[in-house]
Amino acid sequence: MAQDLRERLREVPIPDEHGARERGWRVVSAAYADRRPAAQPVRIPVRLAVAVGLAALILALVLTPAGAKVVDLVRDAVKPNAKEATPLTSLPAEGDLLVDSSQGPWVVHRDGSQRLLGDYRQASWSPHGYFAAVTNAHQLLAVEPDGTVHWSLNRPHPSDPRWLPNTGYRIAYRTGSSMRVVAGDGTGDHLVDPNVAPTPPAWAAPLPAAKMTGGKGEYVLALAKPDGSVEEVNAESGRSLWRTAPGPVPKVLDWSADGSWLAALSPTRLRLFTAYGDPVRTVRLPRGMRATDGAFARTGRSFAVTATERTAHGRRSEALILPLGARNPQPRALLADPGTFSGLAWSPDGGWLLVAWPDADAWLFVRPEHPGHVDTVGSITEQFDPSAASSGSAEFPAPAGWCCTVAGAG
Amino acid sequence: MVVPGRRLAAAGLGEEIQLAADGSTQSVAAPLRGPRHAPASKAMERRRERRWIRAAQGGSEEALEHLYRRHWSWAHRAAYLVVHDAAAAEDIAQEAFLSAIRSLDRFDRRRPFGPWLNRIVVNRAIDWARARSLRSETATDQTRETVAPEPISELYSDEVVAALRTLSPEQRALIVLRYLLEYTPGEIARVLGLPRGTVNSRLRRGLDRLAVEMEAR
Repeated sequence: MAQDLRERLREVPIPDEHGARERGWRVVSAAYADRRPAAQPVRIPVRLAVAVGLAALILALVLTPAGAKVVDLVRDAVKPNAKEATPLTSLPAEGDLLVDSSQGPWVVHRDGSQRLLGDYRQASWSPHGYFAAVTNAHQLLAVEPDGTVHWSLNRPHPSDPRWLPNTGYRIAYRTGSSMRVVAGDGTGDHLVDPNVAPTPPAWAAPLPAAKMTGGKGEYVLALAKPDGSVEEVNAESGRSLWRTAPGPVPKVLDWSADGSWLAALSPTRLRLFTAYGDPVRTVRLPRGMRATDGAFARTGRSFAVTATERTAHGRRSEALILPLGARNPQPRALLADPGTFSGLAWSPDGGWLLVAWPDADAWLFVRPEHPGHVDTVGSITEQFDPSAASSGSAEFPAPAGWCCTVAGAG
Repeated sequence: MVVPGRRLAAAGLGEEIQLAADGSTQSVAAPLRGPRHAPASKAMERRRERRWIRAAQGGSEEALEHLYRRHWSWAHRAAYLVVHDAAAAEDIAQEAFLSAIRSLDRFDRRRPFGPWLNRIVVNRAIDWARARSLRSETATDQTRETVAPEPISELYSDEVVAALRTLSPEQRALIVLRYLLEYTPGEIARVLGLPRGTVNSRLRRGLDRLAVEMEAR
């Protein structure tokens, strides 16, 4: 009885145990920072003491005006080691960020300058950022980063355009339940599959070349079927190359950069397949958490996920890194906050992860290798859609891609 | 020691892995074993903990984090098993750590940190549970909703929790101290300020009641 009881007491599930621990640490560390340490018997050089004193004074002024208030603030939202939210005046890494807003897609450059592409939606970068594929109610368009329309194609309700990596010779997109493909110059539009799930397609990465091109220079595309299976098809003929077993319909399909793994992220699980459609593993998210977005890291051996759960106090979200290369993957929490994390984007160099946080009207830039370091950029809605922000009707600006890995190439 | 859902299955080809809600930040300080270790291990643990306390007293946040990660799960779990309210357990564990930080400079490093912390946790948890039961007894219909125990969802239901609910807060605390934190009856007597004989008899009664309840479920 005693041993059994011991084990069972240790195994009793506690609601939101992990979240409680991380919230607790924020409160405790904030209180610790606010505490006045006892005098130490060590002699400290005067200049060092002055510097430390000044730093402590600045910290006290900036971070901890009052212990209780700090605790409340920390509990409410603010990130550990996060700087105060600032306007978006620059990006922390090289590349241009594509942002979907209710006004239309914006291009944000490294220096913080930004340009509205037009009254479009659902933007997607070409492989080297020379163009963006955008849609409106009845057109698929390729536009240059200054907004110049390169070409357009009239189709009913096009959505989720995705450009073929590296060469950009093809664009896949959906219209209703159909998957279609058009050449990168707007010609040769054709139906690939008349019955797909509402999931953005994923072009197979270019390596290993023989497999990714079907061995015959074919372009191959992964798409989700309504029964939740994932199918790889020849993008020219629509011929099926392989198809997985049915499962939950994925929200995200993403190939690892080296083309060896395909990830299918559904709200509750991540299914990982080889380039030949063989299941590698299925990783179920923590109970109660539902994925909102996800993407392979540049290394291709870990996968970033934003996920949200309902708690007694509302919603809370986490940004997690799943190290898929490990035999026993231990997820690593980068961020945990009240509200919803609605999307994410990796920087081109893979050093930064941008997480969208609508509840705080903020974007969080976090370095997965230095998770304590979080840059918080605030007033995002106002920055990308001032009129809608004042009326409260704006959709939260979402990162739609951060380009490019090869600056100037292409 | 198995923290719920934390252990991940070996991930072979096509295998399915359940990530635990708390599985993301397993740290050196996570209590993977029970609080009682083999003597050699325990001595090492004590030495390491003393170093952390000394460093934390000197201003090292890293050392404090080690202490926190080492003891949070136990403190939080102990509180939860007494109060059966996740939000309250979180508050109680937080308050205990905040109290510990306020007293950190005065803390005698020769004493173990865990019992000191858990004493605060368990006593606060008992106070909270008593207060709640008093409020429930006096609540009007209008206020009852706000003071009723947090409903435990199907996801989190557990028969040992349900059985513990039938005990008084003091009995739950005894069970938690003895079987979760593995204190001796003498240590429990000191923590709760009770005679040792009283601890033994209440433990016996609590265990008997628990056995009956668990068998009935």
